Amino acid sequence: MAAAPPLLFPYPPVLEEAVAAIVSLLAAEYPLAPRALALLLLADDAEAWYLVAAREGERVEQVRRIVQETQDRLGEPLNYTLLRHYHEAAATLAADVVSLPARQRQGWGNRLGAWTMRPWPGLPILGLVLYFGLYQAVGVFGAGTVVDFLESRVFEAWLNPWINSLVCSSIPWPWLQELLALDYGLVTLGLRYAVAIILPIVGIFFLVFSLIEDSGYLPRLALLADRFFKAIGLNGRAVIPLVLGFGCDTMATVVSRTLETRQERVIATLLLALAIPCSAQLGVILAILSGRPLALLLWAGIVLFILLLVGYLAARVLPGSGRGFYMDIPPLRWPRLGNVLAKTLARIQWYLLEVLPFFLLASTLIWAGRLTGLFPLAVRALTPLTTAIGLPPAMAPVFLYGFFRRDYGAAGLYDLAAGGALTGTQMLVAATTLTLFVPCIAQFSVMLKERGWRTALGIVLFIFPFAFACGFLLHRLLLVAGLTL
Amino acid sequence: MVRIKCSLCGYVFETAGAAPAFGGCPLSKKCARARCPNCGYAAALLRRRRGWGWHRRPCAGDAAGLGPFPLTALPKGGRGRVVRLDTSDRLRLQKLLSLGVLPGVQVEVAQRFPCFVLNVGLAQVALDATTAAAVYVTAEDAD
Repeated sequence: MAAAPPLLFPYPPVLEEAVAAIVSLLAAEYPLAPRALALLLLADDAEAWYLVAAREGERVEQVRRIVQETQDRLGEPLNYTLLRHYHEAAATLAADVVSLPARQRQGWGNRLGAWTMRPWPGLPILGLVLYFGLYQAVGVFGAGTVVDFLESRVFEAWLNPWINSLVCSSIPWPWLQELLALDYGLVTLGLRYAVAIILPIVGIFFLVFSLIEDSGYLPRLALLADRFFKAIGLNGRAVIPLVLGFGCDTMATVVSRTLETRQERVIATLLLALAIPCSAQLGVILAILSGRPLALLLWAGIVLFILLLVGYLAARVLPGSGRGFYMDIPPLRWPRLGNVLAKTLARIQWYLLEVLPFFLLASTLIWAGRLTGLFPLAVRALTPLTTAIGLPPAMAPVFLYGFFRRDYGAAGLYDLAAGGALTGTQMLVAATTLTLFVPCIAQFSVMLKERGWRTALGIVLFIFPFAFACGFLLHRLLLVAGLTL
Repeated sequence: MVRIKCSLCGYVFETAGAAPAFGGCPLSKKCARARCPNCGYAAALLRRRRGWGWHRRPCAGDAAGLGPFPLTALPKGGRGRVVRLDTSDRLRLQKLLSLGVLPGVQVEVAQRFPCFVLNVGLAQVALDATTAAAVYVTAEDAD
């Protein structure tokens, strides 16, 4: 073996001594150079310690002692010392070859980037983003125009009658007819909900989210919202799971594992399950309330208030404390169309793989439930609850479906409202209760997996009565106020 | 007469004997800051002021030529060179290191509210006040 080349940037003698001592101790074979491993151990790299503990047996204790002694001599964490050293070395190298213009140009991108980080005009900009990104794109265009077209033109006018007549003429058994078509069939209900109502809404949300994500706006939003989130026991970093929740709460619950402390993860999970409507709910609610601005405003205000209240209380009740906020702020950039489309398609694919089986399963369960008489029973049990909050009995199935999938219930609500079965105040109560109401099966199963059964069950047991209590209170208050929306 | 505690070195002194922080500053009449006789850091408020006037915040020339002080004392647009990090909280230290906020690095405070935004080299990072307070800097002249 040739002699090692001289080190360009030797470490301080204290560290070099420690490295030499550790290298002489390591006896086992490793996939990386002993010197590199020794440096990783000094930097307190968990994986390196794991590797060494598995192979060195007794000698680990000696290594640990060397690291501890070195750290005591320097009086600071060694990864800090090492990183400082790397940085100095890098700066020395860069100084010879890099020159920077004395002054950075203040382009429009930079200026806009700075604006989005201050309350003024950052908050109005946030309002614009929400108005165009969520309300106009997802609500008006997605849940309005596109859903209308797919629903009434493609399915109602063309596909459903065709399937129904095909099934009725070629299949002699009524139970199979009902499984495939008619009112609650796999094609006429399951596929219709998935493709005609949910897909356009979720697809457009994912498109908007990818655009916002790639523009570098999200970290600025996190910065802007940090103080707000601190009040509910989170910090600015929680913006990403919570905003993603407006797309799909299930996906967002998975993402909430990126939060640092258990307290933050539990609060984020709770708030996602309780007060963040997914894009399907949001789209449907925006669509049915879009003709009633006051009801829409009330709905948003009530849900936001509950989000704050429950978050604030949860932060007081749950043990632990939040962590400091820190984030890298990239410059604002024009999103690249190719990247945005690729990302959107990947998310839609994930969603379809996730959602279609559940929709079809829900259709089958409803079919089985109706066939066995179990479902009408459950609906009857829910009916007093729905009438107590002032809604017609026809809402009971919607709540029941809502548990199978959030968006499924939302789609049912859309059907009901489009049929003119609800008054304005009823729509507000229904929208609010359905927003708060239990997470769907998919979200619940993810909650079980990510947070453990005790936390997940606790959250659901809290939400169920809480949602109906809020609905009841709202219904009463609206009655007393004599408000018609 | 008010006794105040210097927020940097903890020295307790009386305001009557303390010099106003910046004789040469055109806003020195309104400036509520006193210079600590022990360490020279100008963080202590001589008197409470009402409102949110910008003279409540540290002035640009605040701590030039003085010992290291927390980054949070730099005004908007102020520049400093990081001299050390508070290493008592390892997780916090790890974050600062991962963002490239290291000793020897020059930082410029681009924004103080709602979060601190620092220009570090060609990058920008955001820190909340607690995290920013772990960064000790010496003031550098703005050019």
